[in-house]
Amino acid sequence: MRVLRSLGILLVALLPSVLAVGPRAWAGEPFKLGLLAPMSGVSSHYGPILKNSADLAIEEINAAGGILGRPVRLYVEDDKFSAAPAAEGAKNLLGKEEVAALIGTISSASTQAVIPVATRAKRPFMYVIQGEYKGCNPYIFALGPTPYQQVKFWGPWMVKNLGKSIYMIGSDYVFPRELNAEIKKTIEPLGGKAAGEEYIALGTKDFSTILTRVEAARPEVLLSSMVGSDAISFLKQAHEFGLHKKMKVTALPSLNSAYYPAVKEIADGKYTVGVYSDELDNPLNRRFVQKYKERFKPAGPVVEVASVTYTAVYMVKAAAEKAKSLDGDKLAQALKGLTVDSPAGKMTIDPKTHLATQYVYLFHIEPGGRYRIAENFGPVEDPNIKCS
Amino acid sequence: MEYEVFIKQILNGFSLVLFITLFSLGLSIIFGMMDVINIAHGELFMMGAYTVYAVTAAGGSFWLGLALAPLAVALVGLGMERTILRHLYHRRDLSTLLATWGFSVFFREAIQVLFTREPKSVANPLAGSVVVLGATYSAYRLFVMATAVLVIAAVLVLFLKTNFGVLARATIQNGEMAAVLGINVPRMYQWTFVLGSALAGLAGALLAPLNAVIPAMGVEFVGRAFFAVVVGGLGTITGALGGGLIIGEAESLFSIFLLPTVAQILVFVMVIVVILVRPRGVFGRRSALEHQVM
Repeated sequence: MRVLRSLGILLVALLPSVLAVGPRAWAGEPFKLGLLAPMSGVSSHYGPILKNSADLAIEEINAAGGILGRPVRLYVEDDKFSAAPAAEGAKNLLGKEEVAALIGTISSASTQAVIPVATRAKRPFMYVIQGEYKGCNPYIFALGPTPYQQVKFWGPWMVKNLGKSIYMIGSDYVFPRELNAEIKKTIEPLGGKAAGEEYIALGTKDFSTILTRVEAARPEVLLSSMVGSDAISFLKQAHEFGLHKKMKVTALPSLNSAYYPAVKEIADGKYTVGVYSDELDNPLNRRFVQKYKERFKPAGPVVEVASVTYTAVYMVKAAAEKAKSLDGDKLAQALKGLTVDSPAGKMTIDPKTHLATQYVYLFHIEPGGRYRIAENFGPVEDPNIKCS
Repeated sequence: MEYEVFIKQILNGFSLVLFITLFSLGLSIIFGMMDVINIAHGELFMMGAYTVYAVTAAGGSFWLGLALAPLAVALVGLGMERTILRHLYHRRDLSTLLATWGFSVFFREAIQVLFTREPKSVANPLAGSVVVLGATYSAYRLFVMATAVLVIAAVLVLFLKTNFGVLARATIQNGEMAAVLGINVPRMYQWTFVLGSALAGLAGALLAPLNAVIPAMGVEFVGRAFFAVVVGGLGTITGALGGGLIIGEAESLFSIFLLPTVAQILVFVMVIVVILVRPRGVFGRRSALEHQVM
């Protein structure tokens, strides 16, 4: 028993070090890059995805001679999917480790907490998840799509293909509200309307009363903008109650490939919108997907944030080479208007808004988690963000 | 409200009550009997769900997983009790609480290592619907409700009608006296802990098809179970039942008419009021000696 017990203690003690980065043997001052990602908590499966993708890009870059002749070294902090640890981690990375730039964050709360820290440190912070970006900060760059970018074509597509009356249910925080506000703007000119709009506290586990209310309202479409594990429970219970037989059930973002392993049979056959699929047929993506799958053996498809994080590292490289400097101000300046090839297609940082202009696609989800491109909407900008 | 919607909402209310009661039952039994607040209860629940996932992923049926889950988790509970917890009972401090907290962290991490952090899916084994009182209702949910009723009834019978029940109640009322009278108290504790663990595993297996199976799923559920135990009353079996009833019915009644967020706030307020007015819970008694356990 004693052996078992100490084995258990040893296991627990060793876990954090498995997550940390090992030192790399390389002569010369490294080019330091910081990554903030949820390694623990309810969305902890995102953490390794971000780290793996960044590692992959860094290995390639180092094999090709690094950035400005320096080897790239990644420093990782667990943002625990929430604000205070994210700010703490950012301070650590920028202050103690003196990283040249920050990449990461999945939750809006973390993102919002890191922004002031990066701004004070005057070093670029590129966030990789879709979010309600407001723009106009010289050091902040949004590589994940905004609600507008995602729904500009998706809203009208829903009205045309799924139905005009849409019951909207989202998690009770800022992102789903902004998403639905944008969707309403795109569907109303086409005669679409919100048959209902409700927001449910994060952490809710039983949706029976809400689903019964949705069913009684008889909308043509049920659109979930729930997030995290709640979103999975919601979709499962919507199908459990047979709502998919009475109306079209769809979701954004919980039908995207990051959720696929948890909602397989529910997702198969449905359509969703996004900026990346591992089925995209271009040489860079084929190479990226092959390497990623070989190295990390994901249970489902290679996901959007993987491609975005991988691209973010290359963005930093391109900016440093353009600026010929590690200085935060010069890097931020160089990022403006920068275009790089990404596995998802060309990605350009808008010089004014700092939001990535990227390709948006309609995907048809086929069994086995194949996100086939049903329609290419082309590069989409977000006119809502206005910076002078 | 239409008749069918009305019937469905009533059933929803019952299902929530039964889910919460089923989930809190093990927690309440262990606490009532042993004075151990099992922080790892949520993780035992989570491991029940992962047992079903592992069985179905390996090609087995859901029903096999459902049968194995309580057994597997009971073994885990036995391991917890035998390695660490039994050495801490005599210390009337926070030792057992800290130990179960440690177990909860260990189990979450171990499951992450074994199954990765990706959310897992357990398919709904009874995807159809059934007509009840003129309303079409989820077949699987009715199955879970029926199972919960049976399990709760079985636990009541166990504590009220069997030898084990008499010994258990004697141990709750006065452990030292029970030991003097020849009851093997350590063994009672051991089987109580194993039983509580098995119930958590069963609840996890039953709810797996309706939820995201992730290492943190226990944490998300356990809060409500503690509410049910506190509101219902400490140290009684009826407490767990009553607490589940009150919390579940309140939440579902409130959320039929109000926004779900407001409904949850009202439930929190209710819990606070109950703790202020009746610190030992609605069904709690001042001392187990004065009353029967039930």
